[in-house]
Amino acid sequence: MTTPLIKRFHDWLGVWRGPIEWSDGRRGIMEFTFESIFNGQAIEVRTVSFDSEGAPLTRGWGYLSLDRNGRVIDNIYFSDAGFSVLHEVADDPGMLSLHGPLPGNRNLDVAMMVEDDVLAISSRLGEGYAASDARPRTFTRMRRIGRSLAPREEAE
Amino acid sequence: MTAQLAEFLPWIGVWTGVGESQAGQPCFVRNRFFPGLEGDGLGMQFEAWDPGMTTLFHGVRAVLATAPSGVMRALAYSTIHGALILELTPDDPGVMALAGESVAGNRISVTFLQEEPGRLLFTAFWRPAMHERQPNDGPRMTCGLTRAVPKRPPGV
Repeated sequence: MTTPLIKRFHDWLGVWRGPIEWSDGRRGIMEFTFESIFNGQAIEVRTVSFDSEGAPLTRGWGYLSLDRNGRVIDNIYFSDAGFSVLHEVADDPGMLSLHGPLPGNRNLDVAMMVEDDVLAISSRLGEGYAASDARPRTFTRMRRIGRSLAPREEAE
Repeated sequence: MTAQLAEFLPWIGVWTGVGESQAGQPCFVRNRFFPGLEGDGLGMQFEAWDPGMTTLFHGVRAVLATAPSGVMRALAYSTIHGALILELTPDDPGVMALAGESVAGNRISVTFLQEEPGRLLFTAFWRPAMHERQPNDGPRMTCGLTRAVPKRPPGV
C-alpha cells in the first residue's frame, strides 16, 4: 500500500545531481538523495555539495513527513545553517514550499519542484522578523542520476 | 569531526538484543550505527519488533550532527513521534544521552551506555505532553544490546 507521502513524492525518490549557485555567489555541484523509509512513512533526504575539485562544501540531512492535516513537515540539518523544523506553506500545485526558523533570529524559505526529471530548488536565508523578500536566493537544478523510476501507476 | 562524535565511532555496526518495550511487551531490538554526512555525522537506525519480527513496534532513523554553534543534536524521524530534534546532553564517557521534545510536544529521552566492549545498554522513555509532571522513573524501554557478528565457518 502506498502512503499519501509516497503518492505525492514518488517522482522525487532517487539521486539527483547538478550545478548550484549560492546566494553569496559561490558555485559548486549539489547532490540530493531521497529515500523512502519505514514503508513510506517518511522520506530521508541526504545532501552534499562539492567544489570543482570534488571536495565536499556542505552537507545536509532531513526527513519529509506529513502532519495530521496532510501538510509536509521537514526537519532538517545543514552544515552551514544548523537545525530547523520547516512547515509547508501554500503554493502552486506541484511546488513544495517550506518555511521555518533558524538559530540566531534567522529563517529559511525553500521552494522545490520536480518537472521533466529535473529537480529545481530555490532557498533563501532571511534575518529578523521582517526579512526582505529581495535577498538573493540559492538556486540549483539537478538531473536524476541513474534510470528513471517506474511510472507512478506501476509503483502503486 | 568533533571529539565528541569520534567517541561514538567505535559503535558503528549492528547491535541486537531482546528487551521490553515501555508498554511492557517483549521485543527484539536491532540498532545500526553507520557513518553519515560524509564522515561528519553518525547515522542510526533503531528498530523494536515483536519477537516474531512481523510487527515493527517502533522505528527511528536519525543522524547525530554538529550545529555551527558546536552543539550536537540528533535529527530524527520516529514512527511513533514523527519529526524529532534531540539534544545530546552532557554525560560520562561511553554514554550517548539524547533528550528533547517531539513536534507534538511529547518529552523523549534516549540513552546508550557502553557497559563493556561489544555490549551496550539501551534505555528510553517518552511522556505525553499533558503529563509533564510524570516522573522520569516511570515505565521505560530497556534492552541489552550485543554487537552482531557474522557467523564464521568452522576452521576459519
